[in-house]
Amino acid sequence: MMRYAFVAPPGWARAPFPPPQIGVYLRAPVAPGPDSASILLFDGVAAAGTLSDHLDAFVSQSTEGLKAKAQKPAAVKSAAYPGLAVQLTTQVTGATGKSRDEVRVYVLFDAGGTRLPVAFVGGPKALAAHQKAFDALLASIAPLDTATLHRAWAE
Amino acid sequence: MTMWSQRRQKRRRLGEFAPALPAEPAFERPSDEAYARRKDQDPYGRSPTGAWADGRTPPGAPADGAPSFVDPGSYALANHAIPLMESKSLPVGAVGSASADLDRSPGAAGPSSPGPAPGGLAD
Repeated sequence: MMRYAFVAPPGWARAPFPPPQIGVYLRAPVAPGPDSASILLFDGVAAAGTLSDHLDAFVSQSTEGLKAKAQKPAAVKSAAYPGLAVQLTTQVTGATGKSRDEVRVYVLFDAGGTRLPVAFVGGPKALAAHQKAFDALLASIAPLDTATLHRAWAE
Repeated sequence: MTMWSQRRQKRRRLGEFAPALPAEPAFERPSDEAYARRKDQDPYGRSPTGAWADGRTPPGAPADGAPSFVDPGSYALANHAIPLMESKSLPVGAVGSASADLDRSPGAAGPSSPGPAPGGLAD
């Protein structure tokens, strides 16, 4: 179980995953449409293979049954961890039954023996609209400073 | 039985009954050594079997991770139990649920909604 700190984009709705899952769901404060987006911060998973292979597994498993067009993975860096990110576009069937384009960004941070998966899911214009917020969130990911928490409780 | 052999037997019996004691009792180890701390022990080291219980934390000691010391339970939890509980599977189901949720209004889930996450994020 990996605890890490992050700074959520201001104004975004935030909800925990339903138990027993561990994670945080962030939703952009925009109406459903091409720029609606959500970010998923998952609990850490045990490292399996290289970071690149692990990211490939993350992408292929979560786009199973979908036609996805992925870009080349790019290196990203948070406040504490190096990582890899891959952006892809896919077509999904919405709640109304119509198919729509979707942009997804999968990020996997390497925290030693643990990897931290993060995913951005949004409409075709979502990444352009929320790129800054997503980048700021990724940059803010760091280990949780428990010493500070203890100090806060003591004071 | 001669007188000499009788004396020898008597001496042997007495020897078994009351072995010769030294004049002064010998302790297992001198008292000043019995309570001495081993040189290779670090009383403030982060170890489950360290001498943290015997040593007192000096006023300026760094308290990283906990206010005073790492107790054996926390050490075992952090180094043994938590790695075992770590998930090996990637949480892919939640991505699909978040995708389906994009068609719904973001107001469906409040910022601190304790209930199921929007879209019923299921793995």
